[in-house]
Amino acid sequence: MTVDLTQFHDAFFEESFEALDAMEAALLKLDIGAPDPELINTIFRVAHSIKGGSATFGFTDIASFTHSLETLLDELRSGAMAVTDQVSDVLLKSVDVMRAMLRAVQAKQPIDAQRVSDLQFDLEVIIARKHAAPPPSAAPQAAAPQAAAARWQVRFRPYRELLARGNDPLRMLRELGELGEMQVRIDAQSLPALTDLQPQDCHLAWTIELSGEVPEEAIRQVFDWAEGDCELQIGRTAEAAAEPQVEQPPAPATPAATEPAPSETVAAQADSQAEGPPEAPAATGAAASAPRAEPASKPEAAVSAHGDSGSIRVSVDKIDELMNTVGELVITQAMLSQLGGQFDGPQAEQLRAGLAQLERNMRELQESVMRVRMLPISFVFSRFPRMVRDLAHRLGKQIELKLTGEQTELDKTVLEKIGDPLVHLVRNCIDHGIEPPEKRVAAGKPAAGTVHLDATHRGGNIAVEVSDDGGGLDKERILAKARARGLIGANDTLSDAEIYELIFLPGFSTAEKTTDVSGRGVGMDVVRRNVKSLGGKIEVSSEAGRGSRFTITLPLTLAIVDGQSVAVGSETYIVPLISIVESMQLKNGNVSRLSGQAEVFSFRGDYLPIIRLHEVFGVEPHTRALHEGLVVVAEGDGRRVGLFVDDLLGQQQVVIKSLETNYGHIEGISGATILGDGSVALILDVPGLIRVASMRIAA
Amino acid sequence: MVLQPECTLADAAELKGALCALLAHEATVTLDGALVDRIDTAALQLLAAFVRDRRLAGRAVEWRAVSRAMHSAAQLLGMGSMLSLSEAAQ
Amino acid sequence: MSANATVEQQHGGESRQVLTFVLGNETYGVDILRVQEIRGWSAVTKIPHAPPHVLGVLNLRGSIVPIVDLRMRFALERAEYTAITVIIVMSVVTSAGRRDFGVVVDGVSDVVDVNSAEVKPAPELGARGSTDYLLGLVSIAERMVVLLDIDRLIGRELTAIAGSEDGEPMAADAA
Repeated sequence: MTVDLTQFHDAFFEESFEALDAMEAALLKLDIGAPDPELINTIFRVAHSIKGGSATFGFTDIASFTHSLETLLDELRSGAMAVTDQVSDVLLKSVDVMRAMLRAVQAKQPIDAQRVSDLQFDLEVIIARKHAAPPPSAAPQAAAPQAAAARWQVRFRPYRELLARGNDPLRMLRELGELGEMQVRIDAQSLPALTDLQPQDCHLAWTIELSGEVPEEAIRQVFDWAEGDCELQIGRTAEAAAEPQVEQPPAPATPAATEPAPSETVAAQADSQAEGPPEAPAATGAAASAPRAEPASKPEAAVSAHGDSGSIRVSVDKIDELMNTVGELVITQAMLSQLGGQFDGPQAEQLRAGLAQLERNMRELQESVMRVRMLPISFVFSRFPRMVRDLAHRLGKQIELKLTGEQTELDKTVLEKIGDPLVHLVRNCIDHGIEPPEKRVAAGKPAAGTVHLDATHRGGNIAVEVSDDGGGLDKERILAKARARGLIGANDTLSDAEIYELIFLPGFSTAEKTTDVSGRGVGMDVVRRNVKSLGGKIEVSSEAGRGSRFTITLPLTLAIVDGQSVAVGSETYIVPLISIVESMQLKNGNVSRLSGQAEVFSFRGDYLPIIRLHEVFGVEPHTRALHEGLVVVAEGDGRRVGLFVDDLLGQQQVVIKSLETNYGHIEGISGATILGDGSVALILDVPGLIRVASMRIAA
Repeated sequence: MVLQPECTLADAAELKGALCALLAHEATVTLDGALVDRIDTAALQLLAAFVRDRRLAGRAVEWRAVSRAMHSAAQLLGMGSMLSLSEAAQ
Repeated sequence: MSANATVEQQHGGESRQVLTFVLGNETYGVDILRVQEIRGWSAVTKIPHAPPHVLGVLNLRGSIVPIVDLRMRFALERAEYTAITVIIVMSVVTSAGRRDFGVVVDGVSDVVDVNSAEVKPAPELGARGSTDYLLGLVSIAERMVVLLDIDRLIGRELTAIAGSEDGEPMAADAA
């Protein structure tokens, strides 16, 4: 084969990831006991095409694994074996493993061979058992973990961001070490040269052998904080099978089981059979043959899939470049418009008409480019059916997941960052919100609880709601906890909304005992921080016995923001409209001083503190008299304040520029933008500002 | 080079800078971890990369002393031999 | 680096171009390769909680760039910013990547060739603090030029601002 196949790699990876998504979806729909043959066929085709593709490209590890998988699927397809819970679980795990392998190969990283061979072993045991004991119904029990003379093997591979998110593997391993006798093996293979090493990135991975009577939950709890920031695998290995790659797998009843794990021979065979027939290996007998390559069929499939949707794949870098250029154009256009307004004379009118046209075109161009980056939120929602299924399973609850508004689009960057907060919320609903079936039935509710995810556009924002029909937030318990922790005074009376706000405080947890699902209060404060870092907000409402509802409001894109320009002395600041409640002029009468210090004013029956921007930012204002300037009532973290400014200037969409590229983070400032005259204006981060100001008052 | 009592992510950029400056040092670099009070994975990762890179370049690194805190952290992470801490006095 | 260059460095010294500028009575020099552009003074946007010598930020063809007053950094007497005040835009390499910034100077003098063999080490200034941002002194046309290591002078500071401000700097004494 002289054709350079690497040109097809990208297409292969993309296709395979999509195919795996389809496989996962089909697996989730699969009825235990009475599987739809069409679904099994779909699943089989995915495994088959990935096997073919990987053999063609010489990804022998993947080819070898998918071969075992295909053998099992073939048994299911022919009806020789029944679909049990256990089989379905192993198949779902296979999806994960294939994804991980493809990702590793794509990133030219080593494959986690241990994880692959563990699962491949499981697959082969199932196949082998079928041959050993024909009645399929007898199968499920045998693969259950062997007796107590076992130890745990924990494979912990943090994602790079783990450290930056405040998680330290050291702490986790220390906790783990307290559970039992532990042996730690570090994998520093992907540790780059010191000069290329970003100190905040984690490039290490660990394999931990833990012996002793330790429940799996206890191990999982150790890694709770890192959930979503690492790959974690916990397996029980019998002493004898601790090194499966060395040991012969027991009971190799079929030739498939004796096939060596990842090896060169597979590649060689694949090559020599490159011209082989492209059809699927027929039934069980063919299982022993090496994976067959299909050099022709894969690229064709890639082309046809692309053709179907009439779309092309474009790298995100190119789009970002386009966005930047358009951003520059918008600034130049604003500069021209401002200049144009100053001209007089016969042609001035024409100039202005032209500029107005330019402005319209610019806005359209900007919106079109922005739309290119937009993706439907279904990309995030699609992970939930699987997650909910697994969680409900583990917690012994019945959960129905409802997804609506999946086609709502938002910016890719926002999309990527909203996943984790949503996972936390959904997990929270299932763990704390939905009651166990008995309790639900006793309360006159259906045994199965409902978790509902919904997305809608609201103005320039997207609102994502996570609601459940569980017990609702327990106000009394939240209050009791807040009092016990001294977060509020013993006699403070709080409104419902204020009580619910308490759950967003760092370290707050209302679960009576920590569970291995939502852990020790990790979550809500992290969720809020993440949402805030995207320029959004999160609100909660709840009704006892009826359930709770979390609403996340986010800007559609991180590239622009709708802002109100305000003047303080000679400086201009931008206040994001999403934070503004209203703007007003203060009369002398409605301002008072608390204990001669903090200034407050009355607003809709509440007293709000006044933050003098000129003081916080150290600039010389036009006026210090409150009644001569204006107050912008702004909201952040559920708190309202009045921002005292000299004047309001106007509302406009501004392009957000990072201050961190060349300088650094400034408390109370989220970024900067370039105004029509070419000067720079800072964009306020209202929640951050409130924090800064309250520290000043406290100091 | 004497490691500071606090060796954590917060100062990792500084630590990296200091270590990078010593990478090409011809003579044996002696690290002193006796003062280390708190150390995290980020800092240990940098030290591991430093020790490995020096060694790959055929240059020596040795430890004058290592505090108990640092020693136990390195052991927990399975880094003892990577850092060749074993021969260092505690 | 090629074998030739190494030999040259050992015998005759390496030659490189340096941009010199004036600050009060002194002439300073920076590696020309670090200079992005030279522009006139324009009003900056103040940034809160910045060190006093960081005057603010400017729009430099679409990116936001901090402006540093070197007079204030070196604790020299302050000068008025006028139409002839000059900003030299440079880039530094920090552990967090490349960063651009501008420095305000009294005026730009010249681009000169400096042979590394002619560079004298900067004298130790004793207790007056770190002078490790001085690469050395060189005499050009009867004038002493102070060569600056801009990465150390500015880069370290920018990294500190970008990271956590409370971090204790790590000791860097070589063993």
